[in-house]
Amino acid sequence: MTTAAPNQNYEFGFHDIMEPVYSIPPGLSERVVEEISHIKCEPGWMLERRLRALQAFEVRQLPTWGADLSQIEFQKIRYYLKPSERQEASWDKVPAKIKQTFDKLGIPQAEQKFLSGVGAQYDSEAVYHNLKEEWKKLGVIFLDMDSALREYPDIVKQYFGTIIPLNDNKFAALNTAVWSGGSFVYVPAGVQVNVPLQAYFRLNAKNMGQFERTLIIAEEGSFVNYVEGCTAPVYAVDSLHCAVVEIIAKPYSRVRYTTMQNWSNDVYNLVTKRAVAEEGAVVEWVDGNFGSKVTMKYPSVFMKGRGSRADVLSLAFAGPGQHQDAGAKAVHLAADTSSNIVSKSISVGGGRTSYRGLLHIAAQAKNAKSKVKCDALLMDSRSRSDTYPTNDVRTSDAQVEHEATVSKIGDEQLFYLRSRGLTENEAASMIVSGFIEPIAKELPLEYAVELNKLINLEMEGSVG
Amino acid sequence: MKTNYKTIECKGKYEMVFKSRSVELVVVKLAAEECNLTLAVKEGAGVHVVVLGTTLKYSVFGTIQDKARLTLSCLSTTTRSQVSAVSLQLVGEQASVYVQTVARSHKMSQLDARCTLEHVSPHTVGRITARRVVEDDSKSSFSGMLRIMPGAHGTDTYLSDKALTLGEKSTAKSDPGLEILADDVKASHGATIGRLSEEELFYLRSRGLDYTEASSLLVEAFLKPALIGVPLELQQQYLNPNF
Repeated sequence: MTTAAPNQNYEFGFHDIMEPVYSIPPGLSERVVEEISHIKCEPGWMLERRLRALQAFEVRQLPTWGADLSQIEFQKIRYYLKPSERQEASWDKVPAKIKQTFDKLGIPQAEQKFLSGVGAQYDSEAVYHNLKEEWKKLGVIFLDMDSALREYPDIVKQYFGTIIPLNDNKFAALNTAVWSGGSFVYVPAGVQVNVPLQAYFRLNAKNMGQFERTLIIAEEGSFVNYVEGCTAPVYAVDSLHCAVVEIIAKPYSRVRYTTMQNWSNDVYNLVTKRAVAEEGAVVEWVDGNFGSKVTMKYPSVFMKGRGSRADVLSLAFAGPGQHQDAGAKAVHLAADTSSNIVSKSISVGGGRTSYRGLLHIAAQAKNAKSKVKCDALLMDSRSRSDTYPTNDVRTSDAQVEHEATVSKIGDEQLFYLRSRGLTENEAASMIVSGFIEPIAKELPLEYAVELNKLINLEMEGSVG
Repeated sequence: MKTNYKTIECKGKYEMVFKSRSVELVVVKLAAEECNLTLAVKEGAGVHVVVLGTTLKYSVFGTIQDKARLTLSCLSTTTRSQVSAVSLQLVGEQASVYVQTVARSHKMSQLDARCTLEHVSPHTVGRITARRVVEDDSKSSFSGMLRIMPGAHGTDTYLSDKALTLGEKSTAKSDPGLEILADDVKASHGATIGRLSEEELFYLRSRGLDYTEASSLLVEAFLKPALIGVPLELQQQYLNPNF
């Protein structure tokens, strides 16, 4: 059990994290929300926010578009798990397929146990410790969200919920009510953080949650690259993952947020991610979706400042029984803004990928430019690919281009590679790697390598 | 040389059946506030239907059988509002459909055009070419959907929607969609929204044409790809601003 560092400005003056006498049962109610806030010793304003969000959640309907969410049983889900409870999973219960994937991807034993919820903590302390010192010198704050709320309540209060209000959509409301864990990143003006901040470093069972809330603030002229997730499958006992990510990019800053998601195949992954870019700022979303039963995720950038820019790279892979409903939203609210969206998706074995995008150019966004390119690869006749873009342009001087193509692996391409000695699987894997290359090359090296291995693995036996 | 074609006035509901192996060019003038046109193109027929009109609301529903080909040209000019819906089903194998939508919006009009192509059988070809000119303070919205059902392998389909925003306050919306449930297909779409090219305008003006003439010429060039096969006199009438 950990002890929180005492904080002079802390409203309630608690010095310890209190454990509840009993565990929080499944189901959602005001009582549950109050308990969560109580366990975390949160300031009153946060509890009030949570309760208002719970009301909003209960009033709102499920979306009538997108993937099928009718099977989610909200009252059967546990909305908060004590850290000790999370370690109850036993290695024997982890599905064989997940263990096989770990082996094939070459994940070390300790990591394997952690990823499957068996180990208490993946100990990357040594690496993390050195980096922590460097960040402290620069004035960079990188903490889990719970600690940030305790140690920097003023900054959190200033920005929390300003990008994604608690009633933005049903799942943002749910997250605001029961959020736990997630990252808080604050980069002071002019600071360039050259080593990617990886959520993985400070992850432990306590922080890897279903309802993560992340807040990133990049002050003027700063740069930060945040990376989360991993291509190795994450065995989750929970069936609903509902995260919220808010990014504030102040003038002339640059923020890149990379996610690689590979939740196990019974998880509903419903995420609201939004960034606001002020004058001259650049926001880049690199979004990889490989796992989960259903993903609905549309990283967005609201270009509020003149000359700001949005860049979204989205990669989706849907295997049997999966539906990846992903995309991007670029909203131009100021002059001279530009956006570029590249989406690549692969459907195999009956999987379904849908690109859902919004490009909105408001009346005051003079001289805006936008380019959207979506490519989809359909590997067999059982799979499905859809594209639902919306381009709403309210100015008359915008330059907007949109294109989408759907294809299967060309027979000639396969034949050529096979005539050079590759097996059909190797040939198909190579072609798919080439297909995703524009996105893979934007990832940190370890991720790109794992990504290729993962694709090869998923593709085995799927050609034909 | 004048092309021979039939002209029909549609005053509400109108149904046309094109016999097997027939070759026809029909011009349909929409002459009522709300018009519904139903087309049935039988095996092996080759038909071009040109729909003209400034009606408030019209819809076209059609089925195309084996090896038949339908070219549908919809020419519209709006000064108030227009809602149109085109829904075509390629029922037979090797059927093909070419939809050309040309829309000019003036004043404060609102245009809402929808076009859906459904590929049901193998080896069909579909093309939707939409060209819209949005002038003055008008709003123009185009929503397309290419749907390929399971079993429609060998489909070759493409949607191209381009909107030219000429007026200060003109706005355009474009929602091209794809729903693909068969794998051995070629399906893609492209959409652009923008203004006339400054370079092209400058070139023409440097050759002695004034701004109005230069932009008319460029608008005509922009609309041409969606006017293929339409009788010349109808094209002249349409491109002439007094239409």
